[in-house]
Amino acid sequence: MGLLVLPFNPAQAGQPLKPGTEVFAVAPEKVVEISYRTANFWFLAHRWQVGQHFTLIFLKKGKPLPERCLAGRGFQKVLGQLTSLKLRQTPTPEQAKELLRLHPLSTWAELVIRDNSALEPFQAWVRPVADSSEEVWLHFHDATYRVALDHQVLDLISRGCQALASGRSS
Amino acid sequence: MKRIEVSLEEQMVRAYEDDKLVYEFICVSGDDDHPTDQGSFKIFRKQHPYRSKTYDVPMDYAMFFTEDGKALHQYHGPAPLSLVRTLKTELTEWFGSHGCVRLEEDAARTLYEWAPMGTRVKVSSRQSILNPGFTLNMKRLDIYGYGNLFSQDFNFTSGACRPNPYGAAGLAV
Repeated sequence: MGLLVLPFNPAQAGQPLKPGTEVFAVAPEKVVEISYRTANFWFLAHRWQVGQHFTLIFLKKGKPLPERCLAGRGFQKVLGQLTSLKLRQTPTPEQAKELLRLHPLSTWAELVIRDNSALEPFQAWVRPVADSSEEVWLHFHDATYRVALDHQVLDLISRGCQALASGRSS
Repeated sequence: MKRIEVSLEEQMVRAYEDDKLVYEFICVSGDDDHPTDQGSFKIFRKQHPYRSKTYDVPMDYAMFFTEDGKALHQYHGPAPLSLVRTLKTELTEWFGSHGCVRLEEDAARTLYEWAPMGTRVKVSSRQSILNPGFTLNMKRLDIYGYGNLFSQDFNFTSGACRPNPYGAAGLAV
């Protein structure tokens, strides 16, 4: 009697990535746009071409006019961290499901990073981890990860031009 | 220094660290209509998981090295990659990809974890050094427009000289 053995090893399927691996990364010099949007504010960093300075725009709930400035050193830290998101832990599917049940994605911040290639922009949802000031939850393409991201970066973003501008007027 | 080399002729991916071979995997590259770009590139974007909206297909463990979206990534098809690779090399280019370098899941994950951003990716094929007779035949066919004979000559010579990834247009110079 013949026996057909398919070359498939279920134990290997879907094995999680090693902690420290970037679940998303893009060369910062290729980035042309970053959008970070919460229920209360929207931060947009944009440049038409690589090599140019970024223009930063902040829209805050309750403020009718946007704040606008050229990016400075503070923004370099934001750019550096958002373009290299390293895995700290992959929650089990049950843990991820529970997290999303308690905190629906509509309550998370939306992060979009566009580079100058023909690729679709990276779109993800971000939520600070409550018990760590250096980690956030990241959700994209039905995957949820705990990744390294200093909450100071999110704080810098929320402070607007005061924290991120170059000092020069746009 | 880490680097990745893709051999289109062998349908193999090799990873080197300081000139020492550390990994070797089978792969499937682009077909004749969508050849994998040859040259030296750098990984400029990594993402896992990734789903192409253009083709509506998953491309997990994606490491992009060309600006039009060519990447090393996991193969997600129903048949084993080893079978697809054999069919591509021995039967027809139809089994090739749309330009990406497809890898088995373990290989794609291993390479993704191993290669940092900026890792150099060299894609090459000895097909660029073609048998002169093969080139001459292609030229003659192009000049006289014997399109129906193309496939006969092509098959006849393919055992010794696999098709040029640039196709006939690239040879008719």
